[in-house]
Amino acid sequence: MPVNAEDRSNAFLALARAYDLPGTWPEDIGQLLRKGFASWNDELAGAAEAVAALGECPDSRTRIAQAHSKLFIDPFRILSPPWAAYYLDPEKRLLGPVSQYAAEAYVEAGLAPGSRQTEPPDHIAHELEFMYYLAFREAESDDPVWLERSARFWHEHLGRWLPRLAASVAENTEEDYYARLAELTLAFSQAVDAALDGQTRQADLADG
Amino acid sequence: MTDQIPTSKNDDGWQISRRGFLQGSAGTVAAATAGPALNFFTAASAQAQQPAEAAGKWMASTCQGCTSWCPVQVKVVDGRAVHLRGNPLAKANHGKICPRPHLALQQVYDPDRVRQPMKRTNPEKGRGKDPGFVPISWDEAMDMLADRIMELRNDGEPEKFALFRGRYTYLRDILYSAVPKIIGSPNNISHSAICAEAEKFGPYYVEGLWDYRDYDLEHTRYVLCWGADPVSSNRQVPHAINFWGNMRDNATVAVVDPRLSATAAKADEWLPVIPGEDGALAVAMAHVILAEGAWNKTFVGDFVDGENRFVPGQTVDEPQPSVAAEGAERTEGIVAGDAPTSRTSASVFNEIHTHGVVQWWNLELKDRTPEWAAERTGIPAEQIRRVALGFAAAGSRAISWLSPGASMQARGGYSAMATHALNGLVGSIDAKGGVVAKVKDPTGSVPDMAPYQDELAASHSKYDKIDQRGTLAFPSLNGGKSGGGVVTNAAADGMLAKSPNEIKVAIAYWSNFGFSTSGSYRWEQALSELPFFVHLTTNASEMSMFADLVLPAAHQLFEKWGYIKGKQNLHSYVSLNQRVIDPLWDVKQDETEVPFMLAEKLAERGFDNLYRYYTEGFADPETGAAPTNGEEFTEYALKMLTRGCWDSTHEDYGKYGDRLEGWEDFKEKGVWNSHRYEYGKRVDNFATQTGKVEFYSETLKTALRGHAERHDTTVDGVLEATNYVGRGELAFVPHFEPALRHGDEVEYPFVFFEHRSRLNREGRSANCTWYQAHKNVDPGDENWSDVLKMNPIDADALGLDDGDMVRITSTTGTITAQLKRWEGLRPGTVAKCYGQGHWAYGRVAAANFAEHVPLGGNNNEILYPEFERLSGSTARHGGPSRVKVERV
Repeated sequence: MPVNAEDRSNAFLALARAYDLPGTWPEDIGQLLRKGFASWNDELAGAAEAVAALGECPDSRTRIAQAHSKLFIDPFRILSPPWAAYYLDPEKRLLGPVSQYAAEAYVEAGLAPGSRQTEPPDHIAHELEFMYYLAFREAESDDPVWLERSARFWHEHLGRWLPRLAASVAENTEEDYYARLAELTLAFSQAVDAALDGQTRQADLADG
Repeated sequence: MTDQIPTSKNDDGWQISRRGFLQGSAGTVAAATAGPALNFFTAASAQAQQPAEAAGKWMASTCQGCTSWCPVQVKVVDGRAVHLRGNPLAKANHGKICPRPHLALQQVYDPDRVRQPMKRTNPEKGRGKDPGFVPISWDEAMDMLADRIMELRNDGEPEKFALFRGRYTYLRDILYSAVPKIIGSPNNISHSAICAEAEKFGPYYVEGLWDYRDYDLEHTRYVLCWGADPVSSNRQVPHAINFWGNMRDNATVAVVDPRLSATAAKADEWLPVIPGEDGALAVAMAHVILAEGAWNKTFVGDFVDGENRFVPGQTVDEPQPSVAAEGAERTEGIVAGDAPTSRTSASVFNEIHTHGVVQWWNLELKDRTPEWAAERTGIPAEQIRRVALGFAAAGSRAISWLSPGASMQARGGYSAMATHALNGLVGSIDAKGGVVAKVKDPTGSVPDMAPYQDELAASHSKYDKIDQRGTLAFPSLNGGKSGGGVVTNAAADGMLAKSPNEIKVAIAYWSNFGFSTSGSYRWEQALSELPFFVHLTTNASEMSMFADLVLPAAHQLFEKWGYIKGKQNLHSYVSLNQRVIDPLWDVKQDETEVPFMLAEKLAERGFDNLYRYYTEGFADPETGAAPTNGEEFTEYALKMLTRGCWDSTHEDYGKYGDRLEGWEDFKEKGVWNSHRYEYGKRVDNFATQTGKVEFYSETLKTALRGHAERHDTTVDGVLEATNYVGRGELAFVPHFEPALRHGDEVEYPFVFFEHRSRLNREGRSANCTWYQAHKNVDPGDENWSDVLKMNPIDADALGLDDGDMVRITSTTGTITAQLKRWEGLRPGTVAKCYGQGHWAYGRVAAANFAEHVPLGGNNNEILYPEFERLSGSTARHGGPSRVKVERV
């Protein structure tokens, strides 16, 4: 299975958008998902295809928006809180140490909040986009620091809660799009675990 | 690297960049470029990449967790608010705070906040109906609102727009006044009448002050609290907490309260009055003070021969002809506009700084003995006498501290007068150690809106209001004017009856009337029938459940610009609300940014009056620049209205207090302080008709006659329509009125009353874990629970134990709570703290948020929607509802 930086970059980008507000999606979210996972294994490509097919159907967009709202936004009942703090902080404090971990990682990588960052830094769409950014830089640069940052952020942070978020989504949603997205996310998390584990070891060996 | 600007929608455009990267970006696809496509990030500036200041920075703002409105400082570390303290530069609270500001940290970072605009997708409205909210952009939300308002204007019915206001800063008029008036609606309805208007009624008709008072705790020798709980809630809590210890070394404290409050627990005397009978107690104390010759003779005056003719049961002989008899005839015959008549003959009593003490005695006090009051109030006659004489012995250094508890009652207008008039008897109004008022501040007003009202707006904005003010049954006599005040809770009835007209479009901000009003079910019904409702709020709440649009508002302490005016510790002050952290969510400032966006949208639709008002009427006072967006508008408006505090070229600069050195200095310091209050300046110059402290209120007489004349009736007719039992000349003096209760005593044996929590930030703390986890700081309450407190004698009779779940039923509804046996209230009464019972306020506030199951019960579901009609107030206190209590 190919696990180069470009492949990771594309997949994280597609996933970041897939978790974002449906009203902000690229018009052809389906194509983005298909191509984002095209270079990965058949299981992931197939899962991505399922998500893409559901996401690109214009008739279902309102329904998906409602489901997104129920899962991640609805102030009356967020079914699957979209912040790392909810899963990693025993006290579930927003903007506590867990959020701060993400914020510091962004600063270390040279990033500041953009105009659309109206959520705490450990929001799922932000963290996925950050992983996309790290992989993008990794692919463009010979500096091993970008891979190290990817691996560290994944292993110490995002990789610890992304599967739990996906499990929560799978459990709470009645919308096919998010059910399939949860499956894709779970499978992808395992693949990234393996990919970054291998990449990290290679980097360690090279350093040694 | 920056956010990608989409330039192409063709498939190849986003598909592959030079190294095979995908480029999906926000909204559409992005062209292949060298950099990554980022929605949420941008390149950090060198400055931003500096290591964070580990120690953080203290930044000034204002806490509006209660009506004290204390200047505070927020410690901000790495952009996160982590701690609070009082602003040490503020002379009012002198660097002190109470627990409430700390809870604000949990509010601002509450994951249950509204994070972005939401629109309703389910048209069916009602409790338990899923609104089906979906997120939308601010642009789309404001388009929807502007379209609805334009429909009203195009149909020639702008009066069908309403704006409901809860809490506010003093930038309020930008939204609250300008939007309805310039659109053409009379219906801007504030929360004030569910807050404390009846409390202001008393001082106004005694000394001409429609306001809260300040208290000279440093020099006082006696504090008599009427339902007030100053070390816990309402008002000037941090100042009171800080001064209370030293004050107790010098002063006696007596607390009249059906509940053993935090203040009562530390008082010398606790008078557990039967709810609603405060007025009886107050007039009995006045009786004692006069009968015992204990009044302040240098302030009130004395009988010309020094003989005390205030003999219990006996009228003081008045000179002939009897002015009182003449007055009585006029009362029946509606003679409006008479000049005030001197009610006291100099030949009998030489009255100095007050007006009508003999008439008060003759009309009301002569028979109000402590023994009479003991039967009504449950307070022993001896204690009434002891407290009255102790209070009087302190002379002008005595404080009769009136609160909503003793005034927001169905017949509480006269209780408010009676309790405040005690200050007049001892001469403590405007005196050292007594009850004082605010010092003038140099803030300004918003520009005149009239030039921006078109013909439609000018005429329709004068229509009758939806809250029934000024009708016969709702005199609402703020400022002495018929209909001069607000009747907040009657707006729901007006909406349901479509009287005086239907409301089709409404905005509510910083409010939750669907929870916070007695008989809250009426609001649920009215909001269900409202065709288009916008709720502008930090947290989704019961009211949001009925909204077509829910718009996220900035938190007042951390995210919002504004200013407040307050007074404590003999200083008035102006304190800034400042944006000390970048908002986490996509929030806007309710009083400035949102109306500016609305103005832009209305202008796009051809109605630019509001936009012109904002851009022509407001400008940066330093540069003269007109605002081009909501943030600039906010800053310029704030600078304009507070200019007298910081601009040395302003005519009032330095006149009343601090001379701040420019706008940046004001922001840094956060507070402007007035000079210290000067005692005695208002004596004989009170804003009453006589200029005196009025025991016989000529001011109220004129107001009541004016209202009677408006409705072609008599003053007695007004009293009858407003549920008062006093008649004739009693209308013009503080007098006893029996408590009004709903529910048959046999079926509903307990008098229910409620109280406030020392942790509640004006009813907005229920979703904070710290509130729930420390609830037992309120005497008698339990953590993570909502308890009904019952005297053990009653609990034994019903066979109820601690922790039993009980059903509390009144004539208007049923709620459930946990029973708490507690000696801190008298048998025959039951009490519960206000604040629990939310079914739509967040996961912490509810027992089962998903299923809308409340934690405990909302008192307003069992409180009858009764009014104190002379002030327009909701009568939430005084035990308006009887209840029965049954084990679940």
